[in-house]
Amino acid sequence: MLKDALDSLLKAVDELEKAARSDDKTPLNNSLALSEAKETFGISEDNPNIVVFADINDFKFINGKYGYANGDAAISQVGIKMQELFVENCKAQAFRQSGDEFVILLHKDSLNEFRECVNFFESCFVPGIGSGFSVSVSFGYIVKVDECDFETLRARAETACKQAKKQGRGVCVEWTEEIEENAVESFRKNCPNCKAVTTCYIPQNMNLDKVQFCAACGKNLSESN
Amino acid sequence: MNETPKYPNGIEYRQPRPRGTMAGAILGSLLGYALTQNSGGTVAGGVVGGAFGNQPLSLHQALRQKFNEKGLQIINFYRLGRFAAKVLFLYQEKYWTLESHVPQFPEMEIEQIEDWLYGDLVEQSENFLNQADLRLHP
Repeated sequence: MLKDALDSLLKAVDELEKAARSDDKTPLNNSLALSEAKETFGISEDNPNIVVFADINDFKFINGKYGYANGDAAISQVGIKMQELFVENCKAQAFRQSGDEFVILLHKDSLNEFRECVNFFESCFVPGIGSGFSVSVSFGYIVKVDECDFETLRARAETACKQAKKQGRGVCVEWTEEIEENAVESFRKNCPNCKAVTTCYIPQNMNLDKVQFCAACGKNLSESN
Repeated sequence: MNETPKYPNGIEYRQPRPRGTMAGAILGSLLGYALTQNSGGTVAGGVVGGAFGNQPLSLHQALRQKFNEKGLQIINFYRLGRFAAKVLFLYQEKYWTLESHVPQFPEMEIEQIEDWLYGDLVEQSENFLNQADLRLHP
């Protein structure tokens, strides 16, 4: 009888452990699971070796226009489709990192199939509260390179994702050195003209000295230095 | 052992959150495991948790559990101040919300408010399910 009780308890703990790594809004894994998965990322031929970063386009606008509950419905629906298309079809591991940001770990053998599935996210219908609406998702990815740790790869995939957003809805872009350089353009730094000081996006290892133009007003910053 | 909260006179009855030894034992087990990272800690935590077995789950957790049993998957829980709560859930591939507001009796204690909101949202979910087919296939 004691053994049965212990077995039930251990089973309950297993379920709780699983729950601790599951996202509460989607069928995907959560950031705790991601922090564990990155330990085995790329360590052998069989492990995933591509990091994909994705986020929902204009998410603040969606929350503002349709309400925060519909914003959560959008996150949920995107997660459901990622589970179906990436996890089940491409054998990828998918995580909701936070908010409307997702990380997918993929094996390079599945990259072509993944890129085809991405097209679905050009317009993903959300059967929200009241009438439904559509959202789009952008993707950036990078293939593992030996000299980079996981966090650097994730940050580069995010940079590529920002570039994908500029190219349109449901676009997937691979990170390149050129993309990292172009990301500089999105800075605003102590502009003497418009006084903009905020940075809307800071890629990792960015050299602020490379900022030439204010992203807010277009002033040539090198002239004022 | 804590008594199940009763509501002030004049307030309509709502089914309170369930109380029993299982919730406390599971929470205790989880705590034990979190502290020790091994199954021995889990068992010890379960024993300790059992001592607090009459404590209900939080409103959010209790609702998640109850809605799950009914096939309604809660996506998010929103607390709308002290006297109200809202849940977003998925049912038959569509998103829905239910919202509850406690009649504001000054003498209502926090446990009573949580119980009332739980009971009211559960009651609303039952009404929702009774009418769901009509809503989905008018």
